Amino acid sequence: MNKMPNRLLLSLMLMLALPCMLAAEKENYDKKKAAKEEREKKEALEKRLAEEQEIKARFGYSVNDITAHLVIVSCSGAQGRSSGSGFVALLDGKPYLFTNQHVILGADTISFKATAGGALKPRGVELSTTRDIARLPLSEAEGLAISKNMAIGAPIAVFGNSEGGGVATELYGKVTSVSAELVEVSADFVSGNSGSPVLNLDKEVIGIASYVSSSSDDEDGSDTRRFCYRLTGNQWTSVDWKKYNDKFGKLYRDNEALVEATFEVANQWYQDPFNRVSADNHPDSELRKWSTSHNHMVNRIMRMREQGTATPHELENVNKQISKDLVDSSEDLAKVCRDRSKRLRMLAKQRGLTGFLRDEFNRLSGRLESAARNLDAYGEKLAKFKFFHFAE
Amino acid sequence: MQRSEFKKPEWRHGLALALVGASLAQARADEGARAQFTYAADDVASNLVVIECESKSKKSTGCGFVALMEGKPYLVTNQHIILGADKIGFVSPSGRVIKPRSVELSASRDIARMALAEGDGFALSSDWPIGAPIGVFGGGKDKKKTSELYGEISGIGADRIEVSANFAEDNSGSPVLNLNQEVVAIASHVRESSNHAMKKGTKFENKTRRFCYRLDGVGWIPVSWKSYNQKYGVAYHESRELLDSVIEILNSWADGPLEQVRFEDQPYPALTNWVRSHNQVVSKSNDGFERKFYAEYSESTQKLAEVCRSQARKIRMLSKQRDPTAFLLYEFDMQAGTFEYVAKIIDRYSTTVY
Repeated sequence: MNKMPNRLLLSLMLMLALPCMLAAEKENYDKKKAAKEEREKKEALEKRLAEEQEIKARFGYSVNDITAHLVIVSCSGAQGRSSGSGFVALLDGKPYLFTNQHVILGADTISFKATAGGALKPRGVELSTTRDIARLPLSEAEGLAISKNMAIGAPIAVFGNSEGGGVATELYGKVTSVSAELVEVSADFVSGNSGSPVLNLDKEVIGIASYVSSSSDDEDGSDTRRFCYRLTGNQWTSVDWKKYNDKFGKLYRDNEALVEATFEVANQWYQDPFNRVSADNHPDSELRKWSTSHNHMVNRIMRMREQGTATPHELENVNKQISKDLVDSSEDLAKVCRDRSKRLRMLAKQRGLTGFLRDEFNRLSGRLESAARNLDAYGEKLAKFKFFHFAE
Repeated sequence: MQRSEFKKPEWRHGLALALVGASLAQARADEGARAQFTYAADDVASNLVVIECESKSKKSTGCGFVALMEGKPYLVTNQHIILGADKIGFVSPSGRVIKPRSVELSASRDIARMALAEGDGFALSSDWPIGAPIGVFGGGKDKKKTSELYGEISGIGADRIEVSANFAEDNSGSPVLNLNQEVVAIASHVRESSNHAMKKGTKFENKTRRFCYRLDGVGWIPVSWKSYNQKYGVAYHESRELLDSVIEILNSWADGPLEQVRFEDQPYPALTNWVRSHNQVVSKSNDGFERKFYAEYSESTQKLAEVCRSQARKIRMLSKQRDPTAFLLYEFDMQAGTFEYVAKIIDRYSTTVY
């Protein structure tokens, strides 16, 4: 065996060692970066909690003083179990149980329990014609007072069933913006808090915790905004709840689940053009049909890949066929989205809907239109792609 | 939050102790709570109970305590601790064997109480204000010493409270005591917050929450324990074990999807048969027929999804029975939902292995 000159050997060793060193350094750097981010996140949370404690200290009362007026709302229906919040307040001198419409819509059974213990039995259901609020008349005489006065920067408390844990928790913050319909607050309310009262220092309700606006690229939650509908200035419409819920509420939940399922299969496919998707057993016939047809197509392409081609001409034809199949599949799914979107737009125009449900049907419709546009773009991208090449 | 979040399988009865995410402020508050207690677990050990259960698949331990209800002494624990056990032993931390006379179950909460012939016990508190200091005390017979955890009440509900004390699986059934040695609630379950964009940067991100059932306002149902347990308890227990095994298989796929699956010797025939058949498929991974192998592999994962769906149907049927308590019906319903959810995850997995 020829002996290598020492200098060359050293160079080779360095060349081999360098990538290893770089990899080790990168790993070390990534670890340090992750630790730094974790530390910063923890510090930011500690700061938020300290601010919350300062605001809490200004309140002369706590959950303990109003447990009789706080309500845990538990629902079950075709989509499973869910839980939200509510409260008892006096409006125009009459006691009502307030919650969000979205908390109770679509449920087969609903129970209302005061956090102090004991079930509440409302006598009917009235819905806000424009906002996501339901009020249910009660026989009880006591309740929280409602205020229409609020100021930006004023301290507030949100007491409710955070994450559907079945207990009322305390969250504190400030009013950050006000409009005719909405109050925005800094208190970190989350799912399950829907329907919680937003209280001022005088134990008066200034709004009802209703929705959170967050973006998926917001890494630390600093762009998340929390909105609460105001209880004053509402128009109320009395509904036959069972009929309303059977006609619109359940339809709303079914369509909401369908939109989620459509996005899920589209995302599965976006990860890899040759991915099969998992909606072959979905209850919606159009989505199920597309899924089955798409999966057959993928299986066919996989078989073609295994068989291989002999000539460049054959390869070109195979690539053309694959492109066509994939583009057809994207067009088919986009059509499923557009058809459903149109139906949702129609639903939004039905008589008897409150503004909240109308907005929701339009929102779902918009999401599907957007999904269809994304699928169009995906199809265009797939059309230009040469999938298979001869091995070098 | 356009709608309340549907409950995903995130309820768990006891988990490993998780301090991750606990804030410094909370840690200080828990320390503050500890400082206010003028007694320790050893001072109340005579009312603490260690519960040893044995089923065909494993042995487990839980906690309990003796409390006075309507002037009578009862041994109190969680239903989930004793359900499905073939043998149950009740022992005090000092080794004294306790022999309850009968079993009553809470109609809607995860609580069981067993009448005792005589003796003293904890008094029940009628007050559970948010922010009040509490201690969670356990028997810990194996270690020959009692355990104690401190914290405060952080949430109040109609049938439960939430506490900040970091209790874990071993503490299920422990009394949650106030400064006056009165029982405020029974340590019952631990829940890990699901991660969602709206929780980023809040105290609910990656949070472990601990819940304890209140003992007031409970409707008690006397049961013939042996037949109730045989009819429903065993099914509940086995279903939980089956679910744990399936989840472990799913986790093992993340490390090595083509590795042989263990659990051939677990007691559930449907899963045992699947494991054997799946391992035969996996053993062909080097045979060189790529497409055929992945088709078989995908089909095999689908069979596991069917095992889950079949179990979901079986448990769903039980959730519609009349006799079980509302707690058990809820548990069956949740288990069925979890099996369906796991089946969907497997569906997704099987579409990606092709």
